[in-house]
Amino acid sequence: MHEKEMTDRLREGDEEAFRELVGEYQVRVMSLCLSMLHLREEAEDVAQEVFVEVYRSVGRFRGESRLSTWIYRIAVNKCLNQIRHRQRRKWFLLPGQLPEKQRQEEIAAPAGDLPSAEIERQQRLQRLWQAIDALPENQRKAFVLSRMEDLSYREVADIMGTTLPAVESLLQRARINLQQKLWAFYKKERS
Amino acid sequence: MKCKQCHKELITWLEGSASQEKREAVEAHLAVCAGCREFAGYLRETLALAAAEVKVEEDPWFYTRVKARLTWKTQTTAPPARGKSSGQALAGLLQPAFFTLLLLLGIYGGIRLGGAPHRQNHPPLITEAPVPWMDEMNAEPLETFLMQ
Repeated sequence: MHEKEMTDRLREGDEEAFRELVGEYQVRVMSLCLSMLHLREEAEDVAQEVFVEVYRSVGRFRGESRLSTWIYRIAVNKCLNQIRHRQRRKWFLLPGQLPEKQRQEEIAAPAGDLPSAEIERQQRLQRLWQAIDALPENQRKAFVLSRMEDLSYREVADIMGTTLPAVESLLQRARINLQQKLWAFYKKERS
Repeated sequence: MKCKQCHKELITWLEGSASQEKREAVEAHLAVCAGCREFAGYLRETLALAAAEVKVEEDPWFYTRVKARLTWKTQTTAPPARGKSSGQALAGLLQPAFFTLLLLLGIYGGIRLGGAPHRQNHPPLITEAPVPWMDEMNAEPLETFLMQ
């Protein structure tokens, strides 16, 4: 369906158009949320919120950008809000309820049944998420959109509302920061 | 190219977005440096893991859940017909007023308690027995006691 037609039908409250939109974007939105949040349950929750927001605010979509760009922008903002909410909530949670702890427990729980290669894989993944989470917000956004979601620099710039050179610069700094963190983990693993 | 410089370029090289000059320099260094080659392998595997981890399958029930959430949100957060109702406005005023009053009462109570004199109207729990003064004249001399 043409984007303009889809937007018009959504504005009219066409449920079938909304179903098609969800079908078309659910994998991309869910994948982006998972890349940003790393917890499947939380990512699913935020992805649902993204589509609710799309349905409610499609009337305000002026069509100046592509529909996909607009949806990605909503998804990125929702994920960042969730991360901020998580950080605020962290002060009121018990140590075992922290998302990092939950991720560690997810890894540790089936460790008895898993071969050592799988445990190592999970631990390595955990370290990569830690390294990505430690990046400054803009670098993280650029890295996730470009590297994990495989979007072009132009699309990343549109989603982030910035210029192409700014995205290139953010990505370069993100790569160097990530490499430094992963090098530290690598050295620790080998020592 | 030195190891440190090579490390800086590794992710760009792995992504395939390095310039030809840098690509050749990295590859030349990796050909002679086993440590950097091993680290490049580690990076490649780790980044590939993440890409595989965020791969999502299409969920046939996702739309149903979104629709249910949308319906629930519409029902629970339906906006009032004309702005805020008078009850909500009153609650908005009363709530801070109540907490301010509570806070002032707490401060007043604290000041009163802090400044209250220590009065003891009840009888003392331990009665002090008077210590008798030693009367040396009436006391039996030690020598007399030993002689007996």
